[in-house]
Amino acid sequence: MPGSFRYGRLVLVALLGLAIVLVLSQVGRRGNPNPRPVAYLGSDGVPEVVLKQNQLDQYVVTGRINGERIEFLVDTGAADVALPYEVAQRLGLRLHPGAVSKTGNGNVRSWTAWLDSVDVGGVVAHQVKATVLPNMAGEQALLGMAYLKHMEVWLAGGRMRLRPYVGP
Amino acid sequence: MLFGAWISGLALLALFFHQWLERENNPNPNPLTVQGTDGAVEVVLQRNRAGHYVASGRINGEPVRFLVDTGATDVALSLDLARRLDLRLGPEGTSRTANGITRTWPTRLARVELGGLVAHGVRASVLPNMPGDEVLLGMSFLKPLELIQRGDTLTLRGTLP
Repeated sequence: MPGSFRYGRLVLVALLGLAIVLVLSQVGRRGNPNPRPVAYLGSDGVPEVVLKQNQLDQYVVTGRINGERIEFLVDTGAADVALPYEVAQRLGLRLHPGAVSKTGNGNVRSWTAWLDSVDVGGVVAHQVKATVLPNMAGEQALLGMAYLKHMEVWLAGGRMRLRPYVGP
Repeated sequence: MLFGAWISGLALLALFFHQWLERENNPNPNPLTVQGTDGAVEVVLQRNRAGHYVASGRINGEPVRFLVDTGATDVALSLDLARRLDLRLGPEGTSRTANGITRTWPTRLARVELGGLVAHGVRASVLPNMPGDEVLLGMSFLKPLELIQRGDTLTLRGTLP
């Protein structure tokens, strides 16, 4: 029956298309599921931004340093905002030598810099300390405690909410 | 005798400073645990001077020092500590760190304790060049918990298994 054969082929093509879309969306989520975060006003008038976790259970988000777009990994294990050397150069930061940083791959000499502003979807901190590392690969920066200590951070069920901490 | 008094005085002072420094580094040697009426367990940690949440805990019953690290996918520990804990390591792989790519071995931790929060069969990575004895408490432990940071305290909330 040619009719049902054509119908079956259509279903097959549709299924294939669906599978491709699914795979692509998974690939996107593995990296950065929060390319355009937007802060909303919470119930008490404080702006807050909600992030989704990626497939590695990490929180990756696009934000801004001194107005320039950059991809962050939210990292309570980093004391400062940690940047690869190339990224710091591109941002035109003034680097101060003489620091030593403890990493999961040994101690390394690093530079210190100050960031005028660090912004995640409108949740902003000013004058944030950064550590610039010589062997850090890629373009991603670590969003460490120098930023996070200014925020109320809430993490549960694959969601992370950030908002400025306004005190008790 | 005066000399002896000086020496013991200095020794006492050194001990005091050692403990003071240790406290700066780890303000949570005995993490406070609160149990709610709904069966939830809450552990409250103080931030240290460097800005980190460091706390004493246990892996397979052995005392260790944890650093809460949302940037780590697994619990991460040094090869030295893994040997001391007599862990069975899986086949070698690689892992990305802030100081480049490193070799790593996967393992499972039978029991991880932070105050009253206990997890079993936790995924971990063993790194050869990790300095010190600190263990990164990554997402493989943190994922089922609720975390709240306000001011300079971090509350970790979980349910008893």
